[in-house]
Amino acid sequence: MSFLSPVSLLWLAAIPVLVYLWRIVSTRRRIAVPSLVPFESLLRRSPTRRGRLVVNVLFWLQCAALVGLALALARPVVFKRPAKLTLAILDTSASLLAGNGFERARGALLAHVAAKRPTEEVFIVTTSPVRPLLPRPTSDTVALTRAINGVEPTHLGGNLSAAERIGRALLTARADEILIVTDEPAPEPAPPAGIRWITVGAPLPNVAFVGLDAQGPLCSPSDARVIATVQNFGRQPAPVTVTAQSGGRRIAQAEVELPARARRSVSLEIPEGVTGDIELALAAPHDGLELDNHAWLSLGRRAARPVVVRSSAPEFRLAISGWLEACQALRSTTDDAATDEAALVITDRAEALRALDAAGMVFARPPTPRLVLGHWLAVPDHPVAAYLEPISAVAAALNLADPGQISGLPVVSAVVNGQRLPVVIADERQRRIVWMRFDPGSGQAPVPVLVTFFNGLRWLMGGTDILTPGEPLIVGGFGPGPVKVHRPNGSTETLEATGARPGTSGRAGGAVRDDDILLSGRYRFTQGPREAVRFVNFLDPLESDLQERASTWAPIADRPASASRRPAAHPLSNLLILLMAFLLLAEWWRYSAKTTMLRAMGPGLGRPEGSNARPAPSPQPSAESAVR
Amino acid sequence: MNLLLFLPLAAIVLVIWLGRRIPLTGWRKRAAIAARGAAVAALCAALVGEGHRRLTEVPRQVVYLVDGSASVDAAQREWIARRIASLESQRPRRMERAVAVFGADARLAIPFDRPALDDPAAIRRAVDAVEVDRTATNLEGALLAIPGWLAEHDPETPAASSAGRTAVVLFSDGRETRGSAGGVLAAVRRLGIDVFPVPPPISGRPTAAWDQLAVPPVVQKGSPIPVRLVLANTSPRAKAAQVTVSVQGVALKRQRLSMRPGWQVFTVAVPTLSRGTVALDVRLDVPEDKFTDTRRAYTEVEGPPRILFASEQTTAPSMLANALRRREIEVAPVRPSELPIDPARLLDVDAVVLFNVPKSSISAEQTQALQRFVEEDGGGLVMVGLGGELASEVTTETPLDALLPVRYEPKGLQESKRRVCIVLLIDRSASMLGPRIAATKRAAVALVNQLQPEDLVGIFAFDTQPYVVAEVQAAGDIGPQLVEKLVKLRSSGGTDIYPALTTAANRLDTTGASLKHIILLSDGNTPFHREAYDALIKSFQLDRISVSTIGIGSAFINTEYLEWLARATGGTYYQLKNLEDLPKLMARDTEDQLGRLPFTEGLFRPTKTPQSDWFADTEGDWPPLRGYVTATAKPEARVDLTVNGGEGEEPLLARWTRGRGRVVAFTSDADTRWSPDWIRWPGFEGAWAHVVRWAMRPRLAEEVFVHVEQRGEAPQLVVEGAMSDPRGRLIAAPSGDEPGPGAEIPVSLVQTGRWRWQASLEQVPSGWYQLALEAKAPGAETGGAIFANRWIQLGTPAAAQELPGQPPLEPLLRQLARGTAGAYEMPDAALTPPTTSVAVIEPMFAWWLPLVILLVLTDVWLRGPSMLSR
Repeated sequence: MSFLSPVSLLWLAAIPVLVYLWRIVSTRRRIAVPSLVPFESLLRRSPTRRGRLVVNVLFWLQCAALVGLALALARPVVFKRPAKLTLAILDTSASLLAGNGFERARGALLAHVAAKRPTEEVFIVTTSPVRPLLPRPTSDTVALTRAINGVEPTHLGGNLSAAERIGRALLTARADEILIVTDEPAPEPAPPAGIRWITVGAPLPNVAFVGLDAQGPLCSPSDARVIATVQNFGRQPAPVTVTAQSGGRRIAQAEVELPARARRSVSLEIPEGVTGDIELALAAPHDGLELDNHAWLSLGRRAARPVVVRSSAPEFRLAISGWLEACQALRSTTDDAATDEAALVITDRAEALRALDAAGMVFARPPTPRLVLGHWLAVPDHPVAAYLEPISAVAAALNLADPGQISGLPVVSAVVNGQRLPVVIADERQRRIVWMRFDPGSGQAPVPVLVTFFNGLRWLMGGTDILTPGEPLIVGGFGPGPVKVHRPNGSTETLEATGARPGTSGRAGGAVRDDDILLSGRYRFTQGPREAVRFVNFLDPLESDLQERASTWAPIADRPASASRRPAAHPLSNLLILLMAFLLLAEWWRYSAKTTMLRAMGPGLGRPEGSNARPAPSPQPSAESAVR
Repeated sequence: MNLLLFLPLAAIVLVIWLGRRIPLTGWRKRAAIAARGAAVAALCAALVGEGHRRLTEVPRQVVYLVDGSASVDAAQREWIARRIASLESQRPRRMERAVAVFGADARLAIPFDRPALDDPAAIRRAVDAVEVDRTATNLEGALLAIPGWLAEHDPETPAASSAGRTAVVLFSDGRETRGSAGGVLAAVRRLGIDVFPVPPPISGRPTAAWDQLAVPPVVQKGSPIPVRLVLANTSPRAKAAQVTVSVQGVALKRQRLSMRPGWQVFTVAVPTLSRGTVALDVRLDVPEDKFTDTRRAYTEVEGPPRILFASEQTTAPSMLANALRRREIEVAPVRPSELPIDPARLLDVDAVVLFNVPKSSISAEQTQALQRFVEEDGGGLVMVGLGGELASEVTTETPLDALLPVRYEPKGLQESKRRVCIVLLIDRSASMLGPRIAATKRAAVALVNQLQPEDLVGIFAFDTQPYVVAEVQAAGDIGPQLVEKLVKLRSSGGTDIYPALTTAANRLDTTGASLKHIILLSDGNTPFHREAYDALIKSFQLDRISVSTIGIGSAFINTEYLEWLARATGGTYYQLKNLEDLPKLMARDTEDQLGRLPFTEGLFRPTKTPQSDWFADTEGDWPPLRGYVTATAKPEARVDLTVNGGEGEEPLLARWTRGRGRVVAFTSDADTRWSPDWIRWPGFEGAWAHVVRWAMRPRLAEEVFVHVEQRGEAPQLVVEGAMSDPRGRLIAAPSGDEPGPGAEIPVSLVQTGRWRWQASLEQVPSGWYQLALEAKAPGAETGGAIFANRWIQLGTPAAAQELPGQPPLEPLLRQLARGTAGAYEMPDAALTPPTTSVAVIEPMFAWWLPLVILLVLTDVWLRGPSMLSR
């Protein structure tokens, strides 16, 4: 056995204090002998210190309790090979919020923990998000129970296979058993031996928001309508009422009859003049999950940022303006003074980008525009390269000069004359900047050039308006320093705004990034007078389908564990604390059984009120012992 | 209620209850109870209570994670050691550091500590001394091993939130050969780990490198597939190389290349052989560098519809298959035994045609695959005719029957092609005395008269043993002698049916008849030996002999026995109410037996039903058929063509919808035996093309864009196209480690634009996936689904093998940095700031237990001498 906090053994110093208190008790003890009452005054003159310490079983119980408490503080552990190692996958996805699904899941896991053998280790991994409840496997039932009681379902989707895969990797040792507690049905065919499946919950009807047309096309003006997609996951038709509210006032309502398992788009006419945040809510009978009945979006944010073309080259301004004319929804200008807002700037000089600009597209044009045929290699998963073929032959006026050290991700590269050169670079370390290393103004632009330009424009505008749980929330416009985040469940957290450029106002630079977006709803970010509100929408048809849960589990090939099973540390603190609680209760019971007294020894030290017990003639040698 | 929550309440109640009796009074008593109650409550709080969560500034840790796989050579490891030593000189001493090495597994080389590692040679020795499996690069395992090392190093303070607490400086070429680091990035980020990848510079002699392989996601059949390779040659002179493209192990194209110095893109055009998914294995050989690498890419070849045509005769194509081919339908002939048992393999075809295939030749697994193909994947099934021995095919129930819109039943009346033999067994025991035996004689005569002259008939009487009344012979040959023989029949003796049944069965066996039937007239009161009867029934079933029983005789008829015998052999039990009815019952049973033909032959002209909306152009113009398998349409089925074989209208062409798919059954053969006039009919091709196309999986006609976008750290699947309500699932491509169909992952597609849907792929491992998309046509809220398949590559493809001297796999390394808020090629950034603010959960018992000690001592002081009382 060893101690994790041996310094706490200093609390054993309480034992001498206890002995001292018992010595005082022994000193103050009086024995009333009727025949000696006339000599009471003589007895009072006897020395107050006694050489012998009179103790009884209470002393030993108290002593044991103090030793046990000091030991518990020192956090003793024994190292022993675990009897069994169980990897428990606890489904914490949003569907568990329906009915009492999660309470049943928690109960099933608690029952497993309560029934396990003392040296059996359990490692619990939640699915949403995938993370361990405790850093290491443990056999400590109390710690496991406490951890299980502390976990709550989130508004994320869950994937049992991913949780199992990551749980196995975090364990390093091979689990003897994998316990999966979920609301998903057990897979067919049954999982292999060593995997135990506990299904909680039952099929429920549910109606949910499953889509929100909040993005809209970049280049056409949006109309005054909100289109939400609702789905009836139940097996019976359901009448559904969808309402839109702004500032607590109902501004639109639509009713739709949804057949069983059907999905419909509901269009809500928004009255003229209404802008800002809108909350959508649906109401339907027999609805299994409340979470998916709400959605939020902001009107008027789309394409709100003005676009400024800043260049001294008329051919450049002409070319870019020509492209931008295709986008009627954009407010573009070549006049800097025309807008006082933070703008998206398109320029052909890096130094023309100012600190106050919100985002920028910088064209690094070649000194002499000359069409160069090369193969463009696109990073397929970046929004700026969307719709481009991974490898395509393109003739464009490329800048073939060495770009030197680049910061940002080369989204499109070109292979020309045996060289591989970055053509489009997306940088989002401080603010979003797209670097274009070609000339836009040389004749008819090829399709990949135009696609890249408009993709870049969309990316610089901020992409999409819909955020879902699990994605990081990045909010700009703060100065450097702490930013308070008010989450939908009422909790708050302070995060640090980073990325602000020294010497600039906070408006342009500082951004706060919140990675812990586990709930849907309203997130408010405050920093002094600055405030920003963002909405996170729960839109997850797989989680909302409580009637026919889709299975997210698949068997994983069992690879040999990298590390051999070593003796594990079994903590004893909680066990000791539990024992001490019983010990103190036992000592208290034992003390309460002392119903007889010698005589009133001073204020409060008297015979219990109402007691009929006879005075004791003398202490019993058999019940008490004396120590020096 | 949870036990741990109940515990404090129960303990405090117990303390107060016991406290009533303690030998103290006044304030001391109250104070002692309070002290003890508080002590017990504090103990319970230590057990039950949450830890104290507080924000604290803690030193960050840095882990130098060194790629120890075979693709990183000694010179690169030397460079890594020097780079670590140089970084160590900048590390704030408050930060702790560790060095770990990984290959297929990961181990700590230098444990967590603060002293600087300023000796590159010592670092190199420590890295080399670690025993890891160097045959693979498992970045996923290495990143997920870090929390374990941290927990072992610092088990005291489990952090509730530790974003950015641990910086990992990853020295690797990123050529992952095992696991999928991209699929665990979200978990790694939430575990508080930021990754700062640093690829070691390429060392050694210049070599060829294969950077990228790309094929278009969709190719039209007939167009070549452009396979593009991005190659680099770091040597100053050109090198010869060869690219081989294979499909299913067969080399389709070999092309020699000259790799000039620098970067190049080569295109190899490969012909499209068939429609559906094509898995291309592309191999690059550079002999000079002894470089060989094989990669796989998937594409979807679109083209005309394709069906699987299952027939027992594959040597010569059937007229139907040829007709469908002429109607622009691609026909893939297979034998019934070759039908796939994996539903995924059926996804390449739009429908399956079973052409005169015996139901019994389709295994349960094949039927299950067909069922899934139809009901879940929206595929079509067309059952044309029925093969095999029709008598048993029609009567034997198979799993395939559940899929078909008709139920095959033997109700054909045409008898020319069969040989009938019926044996009548007459109980002549004492119980048949008087009018009963007379009625049996009349019945026997009626039976013989009912049969065709060429039908075989035999009449036996029995008591405890059988007697021949009329030996089995053609009914026409029995003639008037039968009456004479029947006259001699007298009732007497006991009853034993078993020997009579055995004798009848023996006679039937020798006849070679196709319809073998026994009619038993008896009261059923016979000795019964279960084992003997079981064996007899089994032999009847094997020989397809049916027994109909007619209860006649004394007041105590053993109906249980007679019913059992009839049911076990496929016959019928009749309860005789009136002796006059016996000849009628006999006639009915005989008619039933004679009528149970699995098909009807003759010349029949099909009729289109009034409900049918098909074949508008061929009204009243249907050529005759010469036969069909008798069947009954199921209630939910829609019958388009009927035929009348004498027993009313019977279904010829019926269809229905099963789940998402469609099934058609044609009860004639569409071949030369029964449909010669159909084959010659000019409308044959058009009618069958119409039928087969109706059953086919509808496909998305419009362009569908499917791509993966990185949003934040989470990859998002983006689907764009003119459709409504799309649903999809990802089917992982089979990998070398795990052969067979890959795992299926349902994706949650959320509409985010008019024609745009997105789904998070946060937890999905890297690799190739087929997106099986099912949607409705735009604007169609009801109606059938339409389908599309697209291949997507998620993350960075794993390298096939450990090859030294290759350039780093930059996309994966950048993804690791981006996904964890780290930075690519900026290891210095890992060392700042030296501390980070984390939420730490402190166990509360460190506060509660000292309080308990103080409370116990206070309690002892309060009790004073009362503790020494008895």
